[in-house]
Amino acid sequence: MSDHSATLWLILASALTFKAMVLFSLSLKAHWKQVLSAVRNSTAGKPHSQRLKTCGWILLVLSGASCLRADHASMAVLVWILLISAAAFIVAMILAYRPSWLRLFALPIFVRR
Amino acid sequence: MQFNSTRQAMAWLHTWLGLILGFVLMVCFFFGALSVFDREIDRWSIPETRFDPQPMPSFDNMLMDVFSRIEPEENEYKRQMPRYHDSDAGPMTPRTELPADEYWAYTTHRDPVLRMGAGFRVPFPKDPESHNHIHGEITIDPRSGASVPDNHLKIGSEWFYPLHYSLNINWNFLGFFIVGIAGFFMLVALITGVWIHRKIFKEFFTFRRDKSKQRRILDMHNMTGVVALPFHFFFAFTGLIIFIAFYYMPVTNTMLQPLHNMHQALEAQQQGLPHERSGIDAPLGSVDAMVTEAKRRWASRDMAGEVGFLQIHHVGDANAYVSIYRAGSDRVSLVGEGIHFNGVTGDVLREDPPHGISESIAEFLTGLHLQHFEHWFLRWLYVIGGLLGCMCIATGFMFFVEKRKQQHANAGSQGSRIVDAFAVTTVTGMIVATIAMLLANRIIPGTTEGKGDIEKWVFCITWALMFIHAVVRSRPVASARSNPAWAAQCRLISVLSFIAVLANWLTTGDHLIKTLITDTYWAVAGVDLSLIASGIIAGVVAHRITALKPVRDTETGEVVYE
Amino acid sequence: MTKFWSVLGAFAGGYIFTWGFISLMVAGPVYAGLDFHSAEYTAFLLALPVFLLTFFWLFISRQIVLSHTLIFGSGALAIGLSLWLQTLMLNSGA
Repeated sequence: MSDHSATLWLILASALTFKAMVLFSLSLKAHWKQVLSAVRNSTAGKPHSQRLKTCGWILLVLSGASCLRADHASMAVLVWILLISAAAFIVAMILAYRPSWLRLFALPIFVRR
Repeated sequence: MQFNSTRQAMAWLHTWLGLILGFVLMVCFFFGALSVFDREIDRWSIPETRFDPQPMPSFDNMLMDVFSRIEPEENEYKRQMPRYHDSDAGPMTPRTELPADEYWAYTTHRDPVLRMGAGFRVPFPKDPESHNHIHGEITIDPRSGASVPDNHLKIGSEWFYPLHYSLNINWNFLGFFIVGIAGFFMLVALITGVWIHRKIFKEFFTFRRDKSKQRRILDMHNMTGVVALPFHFFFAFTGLIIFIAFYYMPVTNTMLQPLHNMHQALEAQQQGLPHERSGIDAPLGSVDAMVTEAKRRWASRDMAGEVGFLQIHHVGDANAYVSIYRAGSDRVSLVGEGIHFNGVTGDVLREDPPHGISESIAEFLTGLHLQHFEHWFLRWLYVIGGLLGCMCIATGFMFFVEKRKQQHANAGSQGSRIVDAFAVTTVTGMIVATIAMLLANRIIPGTTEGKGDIEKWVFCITWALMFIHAVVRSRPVASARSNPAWAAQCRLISVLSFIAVLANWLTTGDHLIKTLITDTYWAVAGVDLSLIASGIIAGVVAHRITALKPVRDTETGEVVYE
Repeated sequence: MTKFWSVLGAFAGGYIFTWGFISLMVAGPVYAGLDFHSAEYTAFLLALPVFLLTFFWLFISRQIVLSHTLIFGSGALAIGLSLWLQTLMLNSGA
C-alpha cells in the first residue's frame, strides 16, 4: 500500500465519518431545529430520524472499510474509532457556533412529512 | 452504605474522586498527549540532533566501540551497590571497573539518534539468583558515533514522557503508585460518569452556548467525556496494564517469585538460551552477520523489516547470545519476531514462535498505548484524544466550582476558592511551566554545565509561581465571582509561546519558512506550529474571558465582570 | 468523612481480592500443567476488571461487615491456596 493511496483512503474515511456524524446529529430533533432555524425563511419541520440514522450507519461502515484499505487491520480499527470521536467533537462545535453551515446536509428526503 | 441510592453513590464517587485525582490525571493526560511527539520535542530541545532518522549502523565497526564507552550511572551505583554486594565475599568493585553483562541498542523510525545501554553485573552478589544489574546509558549520533552531551536534556522523552507515568517522583517509585491509583480512579470516574449522565446519545453533540455558565461547562464536560469515551477508557486501562505486573500488583515478582524463577530456568532450558554465564571468556562473533541473517529470515516469513531492538546477553562469556527484534512500525502490537543467535558462533539458537492468545492480546494493548507504529495521522488523533481528556478534566474542575461557589460564598467557606486555585495551577499553570521550560532551553547556552537540571528547575519553579499567583488572585471566588488568574495565565501562555518560537529561530536559525518549505524538517516545524496554535488559542480565550459583560453587584454597588 | 473510609475499604478489599485472584489464576493453571507465561498474562489482563467490579460492589453494598469479610476473606483464602500450590510445585520440581 503506497503512502499516497493510503493518504487518499484516509481523507475519504475522514469525510465519510464527518458526514455520518452530521447525519446522526440531525436525527436528533434539537439539532435539526438548530440547523434549520439558523437559515432564514425556513420552517424546520421534523427530521426523519430513522432514515438519517440508517444513512449515518451506512456511511460509518463505509468509512471503516476505507480505513481498512489504508492500513493494517489493527491500526485501521484505532483510526476509525478515533476519527469518530474527532468528527463528533467538530460537529458539536459547528452546531454550537455555526449551525447554518450544516444546512446542506438536511436534504429533503430527510424531512418527515 | 450511606447513600440513598446507587445513583447517589456513583455521583459522589465521580465528584470527589474525580476532583482529587483529577489534579494528577491532568498531568497524565496533558504530558501523555505531548509524549506522542516526545522524540520531536527532543529534536527541538537538542538542535544538534535535528537530522533525519538513520538506519542502525554497523555493530562490529561502530557500536561495539560505543558500548565499551558506557559507564554505570553514578547515582544508581551509590544506591544499589550496597544492596547487591555481599561484603563478606570480597571487596566492592569500583564503579568504572564493573564488568558488563548485557548490552542493548534501541531505535525507532522517528529517532535520528540511537539509544544504547549496558547492564553491569556485580561480582560477589548477595543473591546470585537475582538480576543484580547496575545500568548505564548513552545516546549517539549514528553517523559518527559521537555521543550526545550528558547535560543536554531530552525534554520530550526524558522529562515530559516520564512525568506522565511517574510524575518524575522517583523516591521509592512513589510517583508510579500515585499515577497508578489515579489511573484506577480514572476508570471509576468514567464508569460512574456514564452511569450518572443517562443521556449519552441524546446529548452526544450537545453544547448549549447560550445557556448559563454552569450549563455550558457541564455540557462541555459531558461532551468531551462521551465523544472520546473509548479513548479515555482504553488509555487508562492499557496504561495500568503496562505497569501492573511490575509495580502495582507484582504478584509474580514477590509472592510467586520462586515459581516464576523455576519456570524461567525451565523455559531457558527449553528454548536453548543460556540462563547463566559459563564463567569461560569468549569473544563476540560478527553481530552484523547476525543482523543480516535475521532480516533474511523475517523477509522469508513475509514480514520484511528493520531492527528495532538488539540485545546481547552474557557479554564476553562463552554463553553469550544475541537477541534481535524487529521494529513493529507497521502494526499496533509491540516489537516481536525475535531471533536469538549464539554470541560466539553466530548460529541461530531460536526463532521466537508466534505468541499465545493472552500474550498477543497483552501485546496489542501495550502497543496501542506505547505507539511505536509509523502512522502520523493516527498519532495526531491520539493528541486530539488526549487534549479532549484534558478538557474533560478541566471543565470538571470548573463545574465543581461553579456549582458550589454561590453557596460557599453565602456560608463564608473558602472551599470553592481553594479548588479554583488548584484548578488554575493544573490547567493554565502547567502549560505556562511547560512553555517556560522550552524557552529556557533556548536561552541557556549549550555548553552550560547542568543545563538539563536548570531546565527542570525552571519548570518546577514556574509551576510553583503559577500556583502562588493563582492563590493570591483567587479572592473573588470566595464571593462567587471569577478568578482573574485564568485570563492572566492565558495571556502569559500566549506571550511565552510566541517568544519561544522566536527564540528557536534566533538561536538555531530554524525558522518556519525554512523548516516548512526550503529545508523541511517536520519535527521542529511541528513543535513551532503547535506553540503558535497554543499562543493563538490562549490569546483568544483570554480575550473572551475578559470581554465579559460588566454587571453591577447588587450588594456592594461596584461593577464586576461575569 | 465516613464516605472516604468507604472508599479506602473498598479499594483495600478490591486490592487484596485481586491479588488473590491473580495468584490463584497463575498457581492453579500452572499446577494443572498450563504454560506459566500464558497463565500470567491472562491473570493480569483480567485483574483490572475484577478489581473494578469488587471495588464497586464493596462501595455500594449495604451490608458493610458481611461484604468486607467475604472479600477480604476470599482474597486471603486465594493467597493461601496459591502459596500452598507453589510449595507443592517447588517440592516436586526441585
